[in-house]
Amino acid sequence: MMKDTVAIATCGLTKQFSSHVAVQDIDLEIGAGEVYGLIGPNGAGKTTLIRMLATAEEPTLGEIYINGDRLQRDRKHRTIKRYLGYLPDDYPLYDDLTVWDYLDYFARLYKLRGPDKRRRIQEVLELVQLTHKRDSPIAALSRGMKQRLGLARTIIHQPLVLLLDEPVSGLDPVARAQFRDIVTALKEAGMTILISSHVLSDLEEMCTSIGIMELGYLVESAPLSELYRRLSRQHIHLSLIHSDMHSQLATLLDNHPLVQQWTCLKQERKGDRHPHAQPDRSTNAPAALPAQVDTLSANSSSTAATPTQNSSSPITTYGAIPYQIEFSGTDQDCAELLRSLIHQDIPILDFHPTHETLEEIFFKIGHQQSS
Amino acid sequence: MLTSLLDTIGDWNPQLLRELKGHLKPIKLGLAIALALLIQLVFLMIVWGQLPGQIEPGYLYVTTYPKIEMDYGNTGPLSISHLEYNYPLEKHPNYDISASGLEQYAHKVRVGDRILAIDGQPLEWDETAEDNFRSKRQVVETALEQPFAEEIRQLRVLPMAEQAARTLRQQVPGTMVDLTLSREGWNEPIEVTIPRIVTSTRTNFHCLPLENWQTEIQGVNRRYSPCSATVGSQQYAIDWFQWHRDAFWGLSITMLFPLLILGTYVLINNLLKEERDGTLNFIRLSPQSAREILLGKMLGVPALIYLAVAIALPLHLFHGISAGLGWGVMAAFYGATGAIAFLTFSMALLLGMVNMSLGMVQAWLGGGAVFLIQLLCLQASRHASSSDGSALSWTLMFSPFSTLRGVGEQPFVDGYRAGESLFQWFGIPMVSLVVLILLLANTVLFSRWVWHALGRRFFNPTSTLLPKAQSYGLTLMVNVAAVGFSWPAWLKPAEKMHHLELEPDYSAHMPSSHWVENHLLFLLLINLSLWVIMIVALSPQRQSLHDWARYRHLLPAAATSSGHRSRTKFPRRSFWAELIWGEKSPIVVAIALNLLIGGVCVFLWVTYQAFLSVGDWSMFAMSIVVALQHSDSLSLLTLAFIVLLSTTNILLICTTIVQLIFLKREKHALPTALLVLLVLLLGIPITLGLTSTQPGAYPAVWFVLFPWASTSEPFTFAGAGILGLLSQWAILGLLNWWLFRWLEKIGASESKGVLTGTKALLTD
Repeated sequence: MMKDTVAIATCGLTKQFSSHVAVQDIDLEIGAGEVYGLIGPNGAGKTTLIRMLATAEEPTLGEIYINGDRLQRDRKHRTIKRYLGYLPDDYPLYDDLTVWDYLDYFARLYKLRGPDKRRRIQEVLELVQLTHKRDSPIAALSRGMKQRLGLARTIIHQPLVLLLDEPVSGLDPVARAQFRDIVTALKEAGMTILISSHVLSDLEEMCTSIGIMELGYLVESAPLSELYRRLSRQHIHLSLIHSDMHSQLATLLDNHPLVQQWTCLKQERKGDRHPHAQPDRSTNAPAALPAQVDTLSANSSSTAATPTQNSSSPITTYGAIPYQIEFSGTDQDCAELLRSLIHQDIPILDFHPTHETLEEIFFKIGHQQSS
Repeated sequence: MLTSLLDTIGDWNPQLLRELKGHLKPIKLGLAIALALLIQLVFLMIVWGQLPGQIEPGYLYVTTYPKIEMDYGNTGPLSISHLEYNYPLEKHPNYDISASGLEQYAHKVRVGDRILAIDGQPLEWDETAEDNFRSKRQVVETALEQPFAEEIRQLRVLPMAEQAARTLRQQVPGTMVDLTLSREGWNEPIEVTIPRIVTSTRTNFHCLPLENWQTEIQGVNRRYSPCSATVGSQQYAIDWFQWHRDAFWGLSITMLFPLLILGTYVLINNLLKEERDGTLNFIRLSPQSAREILLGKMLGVPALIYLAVAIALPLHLFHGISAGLGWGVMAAFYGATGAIAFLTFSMALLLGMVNMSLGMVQAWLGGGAVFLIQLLCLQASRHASSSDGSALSWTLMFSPFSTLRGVGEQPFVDGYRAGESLFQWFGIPMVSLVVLILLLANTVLFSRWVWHALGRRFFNPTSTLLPKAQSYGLTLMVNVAAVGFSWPAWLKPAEKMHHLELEPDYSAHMPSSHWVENHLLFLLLINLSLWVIMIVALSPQRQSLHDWARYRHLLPAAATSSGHRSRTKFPRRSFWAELIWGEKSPIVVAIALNLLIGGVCVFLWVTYQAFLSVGDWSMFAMSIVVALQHSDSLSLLTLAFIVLLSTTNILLICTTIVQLIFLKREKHALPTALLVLLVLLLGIPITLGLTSTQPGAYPAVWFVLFPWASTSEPFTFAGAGILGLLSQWAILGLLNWWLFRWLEKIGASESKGVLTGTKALLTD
């Protein structure tokens, strides 16, 4: 019944290491074709959960279903094994083989034979951009290449479910970007991917759903869009060419039903929807204090390393007056707001809706390191 | 060509191809081939060096036939003290060595005859001289060697030795010595003529004795018989047949030991490395079966060793065929070697799967164990014979050399015992093909269990090697097989009574001859080893014990393959059923059952031996009644029963201690447990021995710790026995009470821990 829709399901999955409960009673459901990001502090049980799904660890209690079939460790269940591809965080390889021989070995292990096998190896080599290294010994590869080779090994048999445990840890930005492209390609090929990572911005780009683990519990598991809707505040970054129309803008924002709060970032000029906001103070202030950034934007600069964040940071063009608006409407409402601003001849230099990042949500939920 | 071959191999077994690619690198290949050739060269040089080679003049001497030894210590005429019948170096045309030839002179002189003259010259010397012993000897030797004195002297002078030797070998044969003797009972001196011969003092295992020599030489160890040569030859005649046999055995050992030891080492090493690196997980995750993967490893990882052995095969085959072993025997030997290697490597794989966190030491331990076992088996197959009823007959089933013994080949021992049975198994004599068949059957049987354990362990490294349910079957099987080796069916009924004498010291009707004691010890040893194996094979890991203690009520009794996602309530087993059949439960009860099965088998065997000594069931029953009514002492049968019982108790106490260790330690649990066992089973008796405590002094203490030593004190035994048994049970009970209290505490405290953890989260 769930065969078509649910790729991974667990039921009461528990793993205990002597007196320590690593994974506690997890009921997980991942739909087919999803890219599911698993986040959580170190020691939250992510790796243990993935290892159990990959049959590398035996659950203390509970059941695992891959594509609707029950997974049991001491069984051979060759069919389920063909569904699974698992890449652990240390992606161990064989240093005594060449790249081609390594992939050839695993292709054969997965019963690929003859021209099919050769074609498939070539395909994955192209996908992970290692074609030029096919005859190199593995020992001579860089860390990023080794990681990509590990991924190639994981997908050589076209698994339906891909389990990636912190695949980008220790990789440079270029290697990470390459990796994101590969995952995107795999997602388009229809694979269900479970990926755990500490690089939340990567997950934000790749994932359709997110699960948050904490002290062995799965405390949150939802589609990314729902997570944003529930937990993320939307912001609009807006700049005026000059401060002349400040009072009009202030009035408009104060009266807009979907604007929760707004701030002029050029000076301490906080406005809210209440009538006691003082628009006259904003007229003379901008010129006096150049380029001041309030506490909110200082907060968001902590994640400025990620590309997403770079593009959403307030524009500080010389002379422009930046505003940040907390907005609770949909994209439609955003467009409506922009239209009304232009309609009132407010000289807008920049209009940029953005929402809180996954990282901000993660911190907002308030989870602490368990270790 | 090579590519397509590799491709075919890869299609058949991907793991094998991977190992071949990993191990058959050009440098390694070159080294292996060079080493194999070098070893063969050295081997050939050694066996070549063992040949007698050229006839060295220094070893030659001239004597008479028979050689006369005198008693030089006597005064008066010299008497003959000893006669030696050494054959001449060569079959010279000047004399005939047949029965009518040289043999006719064998009895012309006798021990006790006194020599008066040689070649008509009376023997004279100065009786008063201080050193007359030597002068007498000189006089006699000079007289005997007189015509060739110069050549004999030259034999010791290097430049002329060769020429002198040649002259002697040409001229001495056919010359005679005239002796004038006085013989007891004869009044007149008698004249006797005996021939001179040239012979050699050189002895060599590979020398051929003189052809057609009809004396008692045959059957004597050839190591001590002189070398011979063909007429005029500068070389000793070599027994090539014997030489090839020895070379064959030597090469067999040279090949077999490194094959098994190094193969075991590399396999364990390889598996441990893959497990440590985490690469084994990927293989586990592939749809290949454990059998395919492990077979690939077994064939591929020691590939270089196989190659080196294969390079030596032609030489081996050449020696074997030249030694007259025949193609059939060689095929049987290779078949047996393959089977033994398969079994050894299977066990090596299993040892590689049992991660004792000892690192490389584990691989060396494995290799060392194989060396010791094979050494024992080699010794057994060299010396075993049915007449001594060797209690270690079973070891022959683990050595390919037993197939050679089966056809009468015995290494480095002179003479043949063709057709003689090595031993019997349930009365089946072990000759020729039967040995091979039984060896293969033995291999198949053991491999089946080993591979069963391998299959379990491969997919789940935390599972036990054997499920408890199967251990009972294995114990029964091993015991039945062991009893087969201790089956006196080969004795004829008349011999039975003779063979199994009644022990006069005991009133019981119990045979306690050497044979029975020997085999009883063997059966007990087998059961002791089985006990250690069972502890290793059945002990659940610490985590499993914790899980069992904590979640026993939630775990399914049998793994059900329901496809429904639901927390089904599985049928639960009772506490006792769980202890007997459950895979994660403590082992004490299961070990007790295994010991019971073994004990019953041994006890039935002892009873049967007792019956055989009487020969009739009704008499046997009566004798037991008589023995039991005997008030002075217990019958040996009862004694055996009680000793068996108390030994079982000791083993159970040790088992409980092992279980406690497994519960306490995560790392090094198995090595620690085995070390503790060693200390308990050997240390205490040794300590008691060192402090020279006698069993008589503290019979109860001795009985508790070391029951088999108490059997020599039957009269103090009854009281001590009962006291001992009671205290053993008390210790056993106490330890188990502790064990299960502990387990209960683990289960309880963890549910508490989980509950408090949940509460803490909820309150957050």
